[in-house]
Amino acid sequence: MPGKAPAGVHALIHHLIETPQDRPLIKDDPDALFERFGIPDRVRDTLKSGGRDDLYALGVHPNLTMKWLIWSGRSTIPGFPISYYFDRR
Amino acid sequence: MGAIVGAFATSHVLGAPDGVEDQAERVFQGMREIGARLRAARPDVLVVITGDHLNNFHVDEHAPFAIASDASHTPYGDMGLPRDPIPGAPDFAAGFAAFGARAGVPIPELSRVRPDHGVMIPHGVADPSRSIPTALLYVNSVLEPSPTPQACWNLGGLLKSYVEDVRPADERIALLAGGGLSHWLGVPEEGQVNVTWDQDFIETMISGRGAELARLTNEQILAEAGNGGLEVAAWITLAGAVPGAKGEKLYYEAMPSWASGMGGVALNPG
Repeated sequence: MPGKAPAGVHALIHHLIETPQDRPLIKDDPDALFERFGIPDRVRDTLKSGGRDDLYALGVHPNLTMKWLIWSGRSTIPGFPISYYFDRR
Repeated sequence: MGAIVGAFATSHVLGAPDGVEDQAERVFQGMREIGARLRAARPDVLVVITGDHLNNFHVDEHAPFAIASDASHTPYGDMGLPRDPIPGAPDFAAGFAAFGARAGVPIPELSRVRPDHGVMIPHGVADPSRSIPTALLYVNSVLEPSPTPQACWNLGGLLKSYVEDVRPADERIALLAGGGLSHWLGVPEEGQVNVTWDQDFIETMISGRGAELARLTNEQILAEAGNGGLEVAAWITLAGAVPGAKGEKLYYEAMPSWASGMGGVALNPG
C-alpha cells in the first residue's frame, strides 16, 4: 500500500458496513458524512468521484475500497443476481 | 475419537456470467459437486475455514485466527446472499478455542458474527437446506500481518488433533476451505489471474504435498497471487488437517472478469 489512509476514511467505511441505512448519504449528502468523520478537504473529491486506483493511492484498504465503490455506484466488477446460481443449487 | 470424513477447498465467490457463461457454469457445477460430495460424507459438523472481508473484523483489530461460536449465524447478506440463519456448532467451536488456548494458539471465540460471502457462497452451495451444524473458523488474510503459511498448516494440525483426540467417538467432521486462488482486488493489478501459479498450487494440494505450501511466505504469495491470493491460507489450513491426503481437482477456470482464478478440490482424508 502506498501509505496510511487519510484520517477518518476507514472509520467512515466501517460505519457504513455496520449502518447500511446511511449508505444513501454517499450520493445524497456525502459532505455530511465527511464532516461527521472528519475527512480532510483534500481527499473529499477523490472519495466522491475517484476510481479504484485513486483510492489505492490514498492508502484506503483494498477491501474497503471495494465496498465504497460498490455503494457509490462505481464498482469495477459487474454485479449480478445471486439467484442466477442459487436458484439452481 | 471423531474423524475428518471430508476435506474440500474452493474459491468463495461467484461473478456475473455475462460473456463467460460456459466458464461460469463449470465453476458453479464444480462447487455443486463439492457440495454433493460433502453431503454424501454425512457430517455431524461442518467446519468452514475462510477469511472475512472486513464485514466482521475491523481494520484496526487484528486476530490471526478466530472461531464463531454462536448457536446460529445470520449472514451479512452481501452480494444479495440469503440472510436465513445457519445452525452453529457452539460446542465444537468453544472446545476448539479452548484446545487452542491449551496449545498456546490463540483462537478467540467470536459472537454475533454475520458471515459474508466468504462463508455463504461455499456454504450456500454445499448445504442449501442449511441443516448441518457449522463452525466458522476464520483465518485472517486481509490485515497485515497475515498468519504465515506455516502457522496455518500448524492450525490445521491442531484441528486434526482436536477432532481425533477430543471430540466424541464416531463424530463425523467435514472441512470446507474457502478463498483464493490468485486475484488482485481493489488494487491497480485487479483483473490479473496467474494461471500457472494457480495450477501449480492445486497440483501441490491434490498430490499430497500440502506441506510444501507451508514453506511459502506471504511475500511470495502476495507477489505471485495478489492480495486476494493470500486467502489460500484457508487451503493450507485444510491441508494441514489432512496431511499427506491426495485428492482431485474438481474445477479450475481463470476468470479475469470476476478478478479471480477460480478453483476447487476434494482431498481424501483416508
